[in-house]
Amino acid sequence: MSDGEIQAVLSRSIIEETDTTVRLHKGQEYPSGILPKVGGQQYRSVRVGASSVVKGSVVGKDIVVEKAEAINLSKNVMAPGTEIQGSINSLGDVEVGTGSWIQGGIQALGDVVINPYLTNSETPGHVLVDGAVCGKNVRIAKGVVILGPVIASESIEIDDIVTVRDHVSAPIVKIGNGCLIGGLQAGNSLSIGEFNTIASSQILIPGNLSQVDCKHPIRSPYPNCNSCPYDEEFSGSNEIARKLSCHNFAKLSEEKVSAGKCTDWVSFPINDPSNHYNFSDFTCVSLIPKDSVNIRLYAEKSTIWERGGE
Amino acid sequence: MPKCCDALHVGWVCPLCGKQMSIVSHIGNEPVAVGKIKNVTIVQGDYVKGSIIKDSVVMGDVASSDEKDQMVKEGNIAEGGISEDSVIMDE
Repeated sequence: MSDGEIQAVLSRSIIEETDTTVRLHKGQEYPSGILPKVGGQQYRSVRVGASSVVKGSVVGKDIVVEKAEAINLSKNVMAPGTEIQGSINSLGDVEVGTGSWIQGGIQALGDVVINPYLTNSETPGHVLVDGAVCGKNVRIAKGVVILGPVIASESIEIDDIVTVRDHVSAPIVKIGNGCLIGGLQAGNSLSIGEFNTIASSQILIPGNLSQVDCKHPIRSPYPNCNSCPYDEEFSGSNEIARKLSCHNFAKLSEEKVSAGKCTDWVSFPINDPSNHYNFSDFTCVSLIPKDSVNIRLYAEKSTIWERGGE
Repeated sequence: MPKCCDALHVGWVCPLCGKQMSIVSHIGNEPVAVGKIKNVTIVQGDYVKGSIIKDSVVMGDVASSDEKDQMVKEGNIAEGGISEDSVIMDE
């Protein structure tokens, strides 16, 4: 706009706030966090509109991050999705829609629901949480990527082809097929599908083994992937991370998860009590032999997978 | 789930090519002048308020006694009630 030029604009309200609700409109940029300014506002319900960005954290009671829509921004580019450039902190429940990127994790007193990652969608389909997810009951839909732990005070339900870079911990854990999990602690009940990888040498499952529903082997990259028969395919950068998500172990499609060409991987000895350590509430299933003397040798080879190649 | 090399994968790195998954960050949505707005959805009952801007400083309401053209509106006026977000296109 040149000096002296006068133009008119329509007045613009990107956010509507009341004593009990906050609503950020679709396709908007909110320049700070949505935070309580006075006592009591931490109980407001917050709804972040589709394909908007919040440049900070969100605090409220029930919080909804709407799924992304095909919305053009002022620079005539389609909004890449709904984005929270901070954490979500809820005194109630949280729902995160498809096409969202949460850059600081999610913590809720109530339940957390994260909707699926869609690959064949005309609108942004990604779902990425760059941090921890914790709540009372946590439900994670198909394909979601979580670069942190998932912890629940009651239960965790994970659909197929989900990535959790750190451990999954709850009294009740249910995991689908084709997932990559960093570690596992299930206190009361565990149900897990096929072609899953847990990037650890030891996992904690319920002490009462009758509460374990595990009909298929669970892959551990330790120790067999330390001497991978397909090493040449993974040479170069990101070798450890690529082996964790190995295409030779499992083939993934929208419809099903099937076996890859590799048969050299090893599974956790869930049905072999000789490799179990029993505690009061947990059974530790270990791939490190009980009679190992040089524990540092095992630790060095096993923790490269737990560190994810970082 | 991320997709790369025409295949789905778990994790944060494509096992086939080693490329890390990436997501484009939001670039924000700046206000634009009225002249650039191609399509605004306004329904009966909405209240549309205009302001003039000089060098990006809001100076006051558009409507004044000097204005000859009167805005024709129907229905009740509900201050601040925006029923639907506008779609804004650059020329």
